Amino acid sequence: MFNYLKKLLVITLLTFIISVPAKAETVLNVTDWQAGVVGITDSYAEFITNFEAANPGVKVEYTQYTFNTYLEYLKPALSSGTGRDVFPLFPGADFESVYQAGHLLNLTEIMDDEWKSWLGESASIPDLMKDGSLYLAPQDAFTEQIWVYKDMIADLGFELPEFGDSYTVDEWIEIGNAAKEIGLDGLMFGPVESWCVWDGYYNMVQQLNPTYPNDLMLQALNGEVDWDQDVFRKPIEAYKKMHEAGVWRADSLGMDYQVQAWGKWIAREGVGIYCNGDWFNASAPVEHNTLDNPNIYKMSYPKISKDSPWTYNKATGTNAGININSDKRDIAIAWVRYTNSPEASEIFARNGVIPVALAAMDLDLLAASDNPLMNDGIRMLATEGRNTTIYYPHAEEPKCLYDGIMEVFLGVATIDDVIEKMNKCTGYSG
Amino acid sequence: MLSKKFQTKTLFYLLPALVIFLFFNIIPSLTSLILSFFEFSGFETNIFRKFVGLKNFIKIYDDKYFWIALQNTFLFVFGAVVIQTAIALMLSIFIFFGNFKNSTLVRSVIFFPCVLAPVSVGLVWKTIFEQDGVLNSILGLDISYLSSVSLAIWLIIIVNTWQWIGYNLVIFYAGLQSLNTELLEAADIDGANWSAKIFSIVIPLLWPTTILNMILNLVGGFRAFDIVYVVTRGGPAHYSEVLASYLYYWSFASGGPGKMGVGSAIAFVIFSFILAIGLLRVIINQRINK
Repeated sequence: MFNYLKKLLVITLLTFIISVPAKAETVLNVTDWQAGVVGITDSYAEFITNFEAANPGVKVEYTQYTFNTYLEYLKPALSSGTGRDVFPLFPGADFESVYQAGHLLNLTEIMDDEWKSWLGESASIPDLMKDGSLYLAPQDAFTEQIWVYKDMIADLGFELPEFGDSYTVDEWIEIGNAAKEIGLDGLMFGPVESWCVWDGYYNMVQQLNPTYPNDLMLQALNGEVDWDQDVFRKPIEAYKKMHEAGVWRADSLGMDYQVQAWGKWIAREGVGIYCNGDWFNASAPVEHNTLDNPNIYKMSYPKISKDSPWTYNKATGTNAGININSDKRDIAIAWVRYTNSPEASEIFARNGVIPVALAAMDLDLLAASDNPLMNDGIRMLATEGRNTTIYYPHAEEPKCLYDGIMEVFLGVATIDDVIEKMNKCTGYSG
Repeated sequence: MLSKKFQTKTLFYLLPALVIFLFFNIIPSLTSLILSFFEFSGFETNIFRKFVGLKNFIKIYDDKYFWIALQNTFLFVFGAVVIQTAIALMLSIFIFFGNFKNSTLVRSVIFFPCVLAPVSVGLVWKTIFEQDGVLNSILGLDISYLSSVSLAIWLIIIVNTWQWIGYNLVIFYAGLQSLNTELLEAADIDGANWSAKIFSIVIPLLWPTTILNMILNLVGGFRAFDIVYVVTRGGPAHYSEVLASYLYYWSFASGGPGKMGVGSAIAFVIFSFILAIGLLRVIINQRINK
């Protein structure tokens, strides 16, 4: 028995000795949820090569998760104190929770002037701040909207709206009907991913917001205003109208955005794809996205009516936080700083990703890449008009909204039911 | 009476398994139970920071989707315990007494889905059930099966039954092979027809095997998650959610509420059901043995 234990001990010791690396190196652990987003993955590969070359003895271990599985990793990791040195967060409810849990390093306190100058206005994005300080360093920016194939729109006999504008709900219904006649869908839609429903709703609310730039949507989610108003009711009516008219196929309600809706749109089964964004600039079908054939067009979410103002969804993509418990804090700071540098921004741009550190970039040069979709994204970011955030710090209220709109789609709830439910869910007491 | 030395030695050998069971089953289960009384997003290091009493349980009690998930879980368990077991029993009897030339091949084909990953099975069936999928193409219909409030859960039950029926069949088949054939021969001599032999001899003798299959399916039914997640992700609008998938939604889903305290409360409900059924089984067993 004891001989056996002795042998086991010797084997364990030998294994340990062999596994100790010959040369000590500092490993910086970095993660994100961008698996499958080609532009980000390619950019990070270059960042790592450059950063390791500039910092001998440092190795960057980069682990990617998918959008849907990221929280499965992050929650146990942070709560058990084994989170990575650098990890991104979704602004909104997740950022709120992680900030409250005290895992994030205050970036405003450690940012030098040069770093701030690279970020410009992006160093003070409200979605990424708490109590006047920045806690998440934005890396890429995006606009989110509808993408359409120009040739399909032309084949159906419609004209594209002016750049920055969009079709109205009624025009989308006409396009949907025309598309159905030739066996296509008007829009591919993946509402199983709840943000895909919220983000369009937020856009339509801002179109109707009589108090813009005051964020009425935020007030409603806070339970400060009555949901029983046209500004909140009409967007649900618009959704219902489009669904019942078959702008998207009935079984869209069981579809996810990232795999099914996107895949079918790539296969040209639909004219447009709903709730798409610049994050797919580098993943779009190459044959439709060259300077010779810029066949994909970006337009904003459907307008409630012809006279609704142009309204854009603009946001940041990867927002890197530094783990306050990291024992490699200085290297982590250097890494995040590097990802905001002009050098990193150029790498992002070369890979079809819009860098958020636009203050350090020549926008005209940036918008003259050989990726027409990225160029359009940059133009759209720079376009004047109403903007809406897509990140609110509420956990359960958006769930109520999503459930309500989906039930309207399914015909098991009325719009009145949803309005009543939202007042209850947000705690509006009149 | 076991000697003290033997007892110590036995305990020593059992220790690794007990430690693993303690750390990976008992402690997490108790932590989860305690967590159901706390507000916990999943990110906090101090998980027992904010005690909320029964608030999480009240929240799920007031949540209509929890009741839908509960109802669906029972439907799923019913599908697994009754429908799946019954079909497997009938098939095994049919194959065993049918004396087919290629019965081994038939059994292998039926068993084959069991060796596939549920994720692969789910994805294949999802493609079949799509509006422009194989099923509608064959039938010449235009039905959106997976977006139907009433159909979605039944389709998941069908997929689950299809995948696991072979597993039950193999167990039944083993039970049939161990049957005392003299009883059947005696029945033949007495002039019993096939239905009398099946219903009065075979099925009663297979009862212990049937119970085993039912228990396996029951536990599997309560734990169902992967097939639901892959085929519908609980949708449309939570109408095909089962308790395990709804627990995941509250705890981990991107775009979900991110409240692990509520998720733990749902986990406690699942645990309670399984515990109650386990106790019921023990009581029934004791009565049968008496």
